[in-house]
Amino acid sequence: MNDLAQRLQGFLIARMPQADDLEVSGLARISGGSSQETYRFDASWRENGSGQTKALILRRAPEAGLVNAKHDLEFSVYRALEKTGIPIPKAHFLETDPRWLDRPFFIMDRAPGDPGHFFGADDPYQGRSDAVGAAFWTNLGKLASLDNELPGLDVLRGAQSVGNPGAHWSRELDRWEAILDEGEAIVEPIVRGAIRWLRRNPPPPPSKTAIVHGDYRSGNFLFVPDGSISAILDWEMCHLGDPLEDVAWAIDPMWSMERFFPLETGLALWEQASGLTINRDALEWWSLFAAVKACALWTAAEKSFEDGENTEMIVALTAMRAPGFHRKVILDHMQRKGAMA
Amino acid sequence: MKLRLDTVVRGVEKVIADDLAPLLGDPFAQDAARRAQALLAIVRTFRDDEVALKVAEHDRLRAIFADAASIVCDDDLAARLKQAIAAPETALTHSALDIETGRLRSLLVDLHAHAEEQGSESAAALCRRIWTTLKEIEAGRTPRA
Repeated sequence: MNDLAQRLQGFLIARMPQADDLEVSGLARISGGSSQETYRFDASWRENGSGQTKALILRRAPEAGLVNAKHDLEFSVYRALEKTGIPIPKAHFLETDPRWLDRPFFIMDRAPGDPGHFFGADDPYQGRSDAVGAAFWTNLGKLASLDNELPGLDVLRGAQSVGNPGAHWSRELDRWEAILDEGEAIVEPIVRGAIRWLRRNPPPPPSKTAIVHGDYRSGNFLFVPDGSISAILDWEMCHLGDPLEDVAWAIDPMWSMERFFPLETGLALWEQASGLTINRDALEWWSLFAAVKACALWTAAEKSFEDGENTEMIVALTAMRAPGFHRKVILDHMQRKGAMA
Repeated sequence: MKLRLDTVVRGVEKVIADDLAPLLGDPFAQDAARRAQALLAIVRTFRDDEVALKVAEHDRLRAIFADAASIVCDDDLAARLKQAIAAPETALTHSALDIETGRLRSLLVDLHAHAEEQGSESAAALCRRIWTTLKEIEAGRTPRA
């Protein structure tokens, strides 16, 4: 057993006094959720005379992430959404004391299923894209329909402007522009031009303030063989805002579900589940915003690798390849808007 | 025969793929090895034309600055444009070129924002030219691997 597994076992023994002979096994780092270190492991113990085993996930704060979220935010969201019908893993323990595993972490159930990576050439949904696509859009619609004042959500960005939905777009644009300002070694005129366009042409306010996942896309959920979604993951960028922000992010060309499921059918399912109507002009605004936000994320990745704070190959690879992709997405938007000769 | 940097890096990529990755039992480590190999391929192909791309971008931006004088009604901006047009490339190292790229792009952002605030047709034409030029520059920046 390696040092991390031993320390994790020590933590669980301390937090589960009712468990006898508790053991951690099979601890292994897994890919995905690159803003947090993610490990899978099993815990087994005896309780009231009977043996128990649980498949679990450890999410530990990174030394440096793409965009560092408050370490307890994701745990708070999992707890807040526990009984809403949104498929999420059950979150068990949040620990901020570094004496256990050096950095803050939390432990949650390991949900069954496959993430269906969007970058593969083959069908990531193994012939079940109809069911997966329908579940994908329906779950996102359900999320938009939820009460935005569920207990625990007051820690989210945007909670202070629930009653002012017209403020969401500018707050989010300010946030990502600030991340660009901090991370860009050399300014990208394409991205800055898009930001100015977004400011000159604000979207209409949403009909409601919604819980926004912030990174809702292919690769950030698990599906099981019948095509249903067993867990929506990676809530580090969750906030309150315009529900179309998630819709636009979900159809970004880099990971769009549209490759595997008809877009208009998906949007209709979203409207049905959310009880909201999609304003197409607003969706267009949020689609350009999504490309700007992606550029800001990749800039943060570049900075963290350049500074030596992050040494993961996935971060370097993302920093090398993804920014150009999204600058081209921005250029396509601007061309459609008649910005070019 | 001279051993080229391209050949050396290609050799390292092959060692990672053929000799090291198969020995890694841990899937996370295997992913890291595969990504390291992909990164080396990107760097190998990009380094060949990176200087030429940067110099070409500088020339395109200076050409825009040279034609922008008629729409600029800000003395400070006009002076910065004049200075940028007159400044030749002083060095062809990546670090020196990056400094100049940063300076020229920042100036382009300021000029673009300035033009957007003008109401004239010539300013609108300049904005369209800037966007078109940015698209053409971007097409050359795509990593080939």
